[in-house]
Amino acid sequence: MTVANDQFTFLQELVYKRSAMVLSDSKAYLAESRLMPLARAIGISDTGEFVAHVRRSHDVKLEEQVVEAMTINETLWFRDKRPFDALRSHVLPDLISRKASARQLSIWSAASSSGQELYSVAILLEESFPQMRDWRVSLLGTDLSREMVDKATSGVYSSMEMNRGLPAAMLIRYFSQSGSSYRLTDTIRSKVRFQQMNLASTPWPSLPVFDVILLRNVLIYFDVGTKQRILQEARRRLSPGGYLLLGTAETTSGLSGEFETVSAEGAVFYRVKER
Amino acid sequence: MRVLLVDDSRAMRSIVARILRKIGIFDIDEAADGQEALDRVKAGPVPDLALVDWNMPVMNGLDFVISVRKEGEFRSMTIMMVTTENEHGQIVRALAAGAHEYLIKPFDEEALIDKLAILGFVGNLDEASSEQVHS
Amino acid sequence: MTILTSENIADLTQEIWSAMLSEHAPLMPGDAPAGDIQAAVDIAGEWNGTVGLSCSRDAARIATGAIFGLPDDEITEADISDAVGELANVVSGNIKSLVPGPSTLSVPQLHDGSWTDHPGRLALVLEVRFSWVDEPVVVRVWTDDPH
Repeated sequence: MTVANDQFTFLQELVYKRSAMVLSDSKAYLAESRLMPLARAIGISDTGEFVAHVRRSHDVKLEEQVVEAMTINETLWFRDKRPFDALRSHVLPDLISRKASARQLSIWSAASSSGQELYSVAILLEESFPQMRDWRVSLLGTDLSREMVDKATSGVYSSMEMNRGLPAAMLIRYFSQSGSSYRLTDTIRSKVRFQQMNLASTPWPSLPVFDVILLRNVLIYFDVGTKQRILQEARRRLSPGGYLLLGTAETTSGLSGEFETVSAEGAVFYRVKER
Repeated sequence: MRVLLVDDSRAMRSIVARILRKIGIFDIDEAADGQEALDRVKAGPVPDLALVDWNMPVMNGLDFVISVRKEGEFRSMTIMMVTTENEHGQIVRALAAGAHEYLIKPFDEEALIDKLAILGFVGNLDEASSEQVHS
Repeated sequence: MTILTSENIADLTQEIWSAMLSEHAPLMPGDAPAGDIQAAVDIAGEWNGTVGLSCSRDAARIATGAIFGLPDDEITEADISDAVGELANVVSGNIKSLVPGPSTLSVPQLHDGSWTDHPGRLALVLEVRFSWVDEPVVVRVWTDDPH
């Protein structure tokens, strides 16, 4: 069972009451992917059952988590700007100089949602690092929701989605018309791959190591134990000298002693401490 | 900073003006078509930013962009189209004519603020949008 | 090929409502047939038709107040025409992108809300009914396009 219509109405009312933000009906598809992590965290495996639980329990803290999960906007291009500035000016130049002989780079968007984050990275590479065109670049996105994985794979976005943070010059260069929507060009789509994966289910399946792991606004959904396990797994998938990016409000401190921070352009990245 | 809103709909100008005031932009001038906007720009002071609809009577937004760019002396003015025209080809035409950015109607407050951030008129995206979330 | 369906129109109208009238509750599916006021916009070119946005007088006043940031007692008839006209304009602009182009939009014309008898004798092909702040909102599409 998934989130039923009257349950989504309940969510709309709850979000409106707490945050004064309106969730349009067209956002109903978000409920599943946004609430599933919260449901799992308290041992419920079904979002419909979870919403029923929230409704019955009147648990204020849980309601707050629901509102936060439903209102976080994961669908921006170049979301938050600063991490992308840091990738362009520090992180990627550093990786390029250190990996110049191997000519390989791998980047993972670990909660890729509808794909904008990973595609933004692909566009950034194309725009700012033309010298990497003959490198072996692997760009992987994973998400809990099958629906999100399919949407990301299609690379098709509505006008409303295109409006959010994508410079018009990049729209005309990297997208073409697809009915009333826009589709990423094959050049960009052929560089990325999306697959389903549940980060909370540890140990993770076999994955390669990555030079950059984007793990933004994921930890906030989990209890301390799960956060620690996820960071431990992420650390094992980070290449030597690789960079981990968390959400603006997230940190490894108190969860793992194995990381040190690197700041650039107002963004904070984490690297594994050298022994 | 000074902004010129060019739209034949008073309703749309009002929506945009309210968002601009919310983020601290109060020096706002309005024009109801491309010709009026062109006269306004020539009379000065030249706005820092013009937000321009496409479909308007008398002179449409694209013709306004073409005319104002032909003048050469208004290069300091940033132009963003704000329109329901949403075809890839139209966006190409507008940028080729000299518009810097393009916002498709309908847009919400955050989308307009994101675009102003891309153009460098407001600070960081988080700060701009989180203000709205927590107010 | 057109992809003009009730579902597409419902989606885009709801998006427009949440973007332009974000301080009110969202537009929901409804069943009331017609309102008091209607703004109509013609689409002409490769595809020809008319899009009508109809709503009750109360819905129009609430939308107008929200768009202009005015208290109810300061709203004029001109404000209402302008606000409903612009909502119709954005709805038609988005419908225009669903049908074959190129085409252009007319300036919105204000009609009586129950106006369904198109003067150009185009056929009413779609009518999508919504409820907003407990008031009726209806989007209608007329065309001579058989698809």
